[in-house]
Amino acid sequence: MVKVSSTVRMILKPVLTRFPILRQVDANMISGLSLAFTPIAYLLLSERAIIASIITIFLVLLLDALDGIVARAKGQTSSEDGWMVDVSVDRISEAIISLALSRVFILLTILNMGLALLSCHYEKHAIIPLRQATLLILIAYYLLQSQPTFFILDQILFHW
Amino acid sequence: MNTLGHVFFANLLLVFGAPSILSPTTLIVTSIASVITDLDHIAHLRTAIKTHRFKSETRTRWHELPGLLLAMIISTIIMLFSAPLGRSLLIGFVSHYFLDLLTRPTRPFYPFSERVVFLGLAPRNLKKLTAYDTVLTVIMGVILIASLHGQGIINS
Repeated sequence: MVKVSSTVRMILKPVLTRFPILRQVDANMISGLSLAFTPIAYLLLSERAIIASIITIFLVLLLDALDGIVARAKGQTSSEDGWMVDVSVDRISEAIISLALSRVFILLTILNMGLALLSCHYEKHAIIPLRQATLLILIAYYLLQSQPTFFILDQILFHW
Repeated sequence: MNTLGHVFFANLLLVFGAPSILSPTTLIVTSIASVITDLDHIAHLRTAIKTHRFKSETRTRWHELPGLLLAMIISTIIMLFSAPLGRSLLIGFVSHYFLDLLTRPTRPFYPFSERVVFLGLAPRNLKKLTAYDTVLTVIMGVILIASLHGQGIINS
């Protein structure tokens, strides 16, 4: 992870120097963009447009990862502020995505929100990577469409 | 976001994301759920009239993540008895927190932390913010009315 972020920082630095307007892009703004894309994922999931929703959730996660890297590249290093933006955006983003999914995912979202509040209270980080798990399940759902296990995934994702 | 913006956005999520449960009842339930969170502003109405805005300090714990957690638990319990009612409630509640986090300074972890989070996707200047809110509300309103008209829920 350290290697990845240092590589991205190496790529970002010359880009930020060449295009000074990009320096005005705040890390929080990237988190905001990541959140703003989530209703699209919700609408695509509701329509069962699996490939499109996989791409959108991937984009949401990519932007979510990018904000931390940009913050470090620009020297915005208040970790508590960053944590708060990250976690609150993640929880609301999960809640929006869960609207299109089964009650299992809604319950997991509730559990994750509770864990986030406890993490803040006890200053110990314990959160389920729910959107990443959803992305993996969606990929499996798409790949296993002709398999007998598809029925189980369909039930877990959209019906339970 | 303003009250009308919350109602329009929540109903857009209902119309396009959950057409199978779309009915006048679910539209009303979603509308109520999308604005009920703002009730805690009433206590700060006098200050807001003077300053023309509700500051993040006027938001109680029920207007932040603890409130969303409670709202989601209530909606999920209602979903066990009536799935359309529970789901439309959930859409209304979640959309409110989504729009607020996106466009306003909030304290998501209040009362555990008083740190203010602002994502910077909306202007902070009052005049610009009013214009931003108005444009978004009108766009959402037009799309919602057109789609409800198209589905025959409202007639001309």
